[in-house]
Amino acid sequence: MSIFKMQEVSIIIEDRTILEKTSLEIPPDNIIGISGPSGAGKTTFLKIFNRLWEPATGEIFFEGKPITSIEHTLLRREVVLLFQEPLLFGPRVKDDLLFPFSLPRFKQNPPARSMLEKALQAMSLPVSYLGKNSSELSGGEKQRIAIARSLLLQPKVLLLDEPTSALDQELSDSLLDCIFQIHTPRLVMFISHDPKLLQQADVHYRLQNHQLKKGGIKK
Amino acid sequence: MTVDIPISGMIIAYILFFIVFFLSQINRLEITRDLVVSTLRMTLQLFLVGWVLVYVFEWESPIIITGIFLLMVFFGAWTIMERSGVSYFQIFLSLLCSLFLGTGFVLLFFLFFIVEVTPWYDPQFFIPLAGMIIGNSMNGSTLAVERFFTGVRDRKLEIETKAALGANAREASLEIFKQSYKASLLPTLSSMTGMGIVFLPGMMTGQILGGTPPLIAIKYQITIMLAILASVALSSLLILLLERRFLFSHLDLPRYNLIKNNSR
Repeated sequence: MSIFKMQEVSIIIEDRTILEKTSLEIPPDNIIGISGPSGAGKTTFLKIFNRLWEPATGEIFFEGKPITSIEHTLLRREVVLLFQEPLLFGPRVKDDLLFPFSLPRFKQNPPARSMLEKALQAMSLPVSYLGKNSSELSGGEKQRIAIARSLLLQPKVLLLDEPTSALDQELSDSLLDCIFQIHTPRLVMFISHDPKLLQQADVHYRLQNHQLKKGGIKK
Repeated sequence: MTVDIPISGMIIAYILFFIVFFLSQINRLEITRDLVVSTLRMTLQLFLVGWVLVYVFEWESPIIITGIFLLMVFFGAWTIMERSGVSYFQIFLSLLCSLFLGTGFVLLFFLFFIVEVTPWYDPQFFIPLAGMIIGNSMNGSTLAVERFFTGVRDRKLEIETKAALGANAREASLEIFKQSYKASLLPTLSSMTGMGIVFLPGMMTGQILGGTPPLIAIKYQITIMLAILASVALSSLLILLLERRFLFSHLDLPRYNLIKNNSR
């Protein structure tokens, strides 16, 4: 069974068509890379999978269920989206990593300290950063903390918008391995212009002229 | 004993205005128009309200008093909407509702349980108290509405990032909500802190000048300050709750079309 199924989905932003009546089945255990020209609507495309944006027409199914039938805040914890501009809430890195668990509605136990340390190490950050002030971090460090924060929720799907934009080349190249050290989602879908990262995807789509075109499959 | 101010005294008071006027003119401070308009408005409005109050005090009708209260709430809500720059009909309705409930509750509480006036609609108590309570709540609510609106508009990424981790509208905008509520209470809190040491409040000064013994005047001042604090807090909290409901969609996201079309 596909993890996501799109049925005749159209995306429109203020009279501008981003995607026109597209049907697609996305199998699980996959890494999907998405590229396309600036302004093509790639970020909005990612947002439709956890209802941060509503498609103008069509329906999306997650594990066989229409996503509109799933409570949207629960869906967003199973299908986590990470924005290009990482935002930390502070005051300390530890508070940031634990933010998703501070929402009392979900009654989800926070991860143990050893798990937080493992997440930092996987992101090539020292354990001592747990007590560090979030506002003192560099752009790249913030991005790594934001990725770790999303993964600690152990989502089924991880959606990443330009995840390597603030990272150095070495870390960019090994990003997916770093992610899988913390948690292995059933689907990772990312937007990137980085050819090396796109090469690591199982399937590559290009969003252009309101169409989603398959760019290539990893051999 | 009330000491009336003679007409000559009133005219002499305007000498103070002319001092400011000429100083501004000589120094070319370009504030002449504002000075004249504000002074004229103040004079005319107060004379007008004085005349109205003379009649209202004679009528002593609960219907007329309630009508005046509703009118004050209506203009209060309208002024908040204008001053905050958040001009939506739903916001106006929300303001009407929050100002009516917040100030109405405190006003009746004050009249029934604190000063125990009979009848409750005695205009000598009702009108000045309503004026003070609504006026202060209006200032607080203006700050609350404006701060929350600009907060949601300017901190869109923060809200979306929190929403993407499962936060609902309340959780995603909690920081903005807290800051807006704090901002609405700040003027009242700082005036309470300075009261008696930095300045003597207007109402108390008025009462003392009118012949009320200082110990009675401070009792009025203390109770009215508590009433003002409660009504500012209540009406600001209510309007923030309603504004949040209005600005966020059923998907717990900011309603972008509202925030975008009404930027200030």
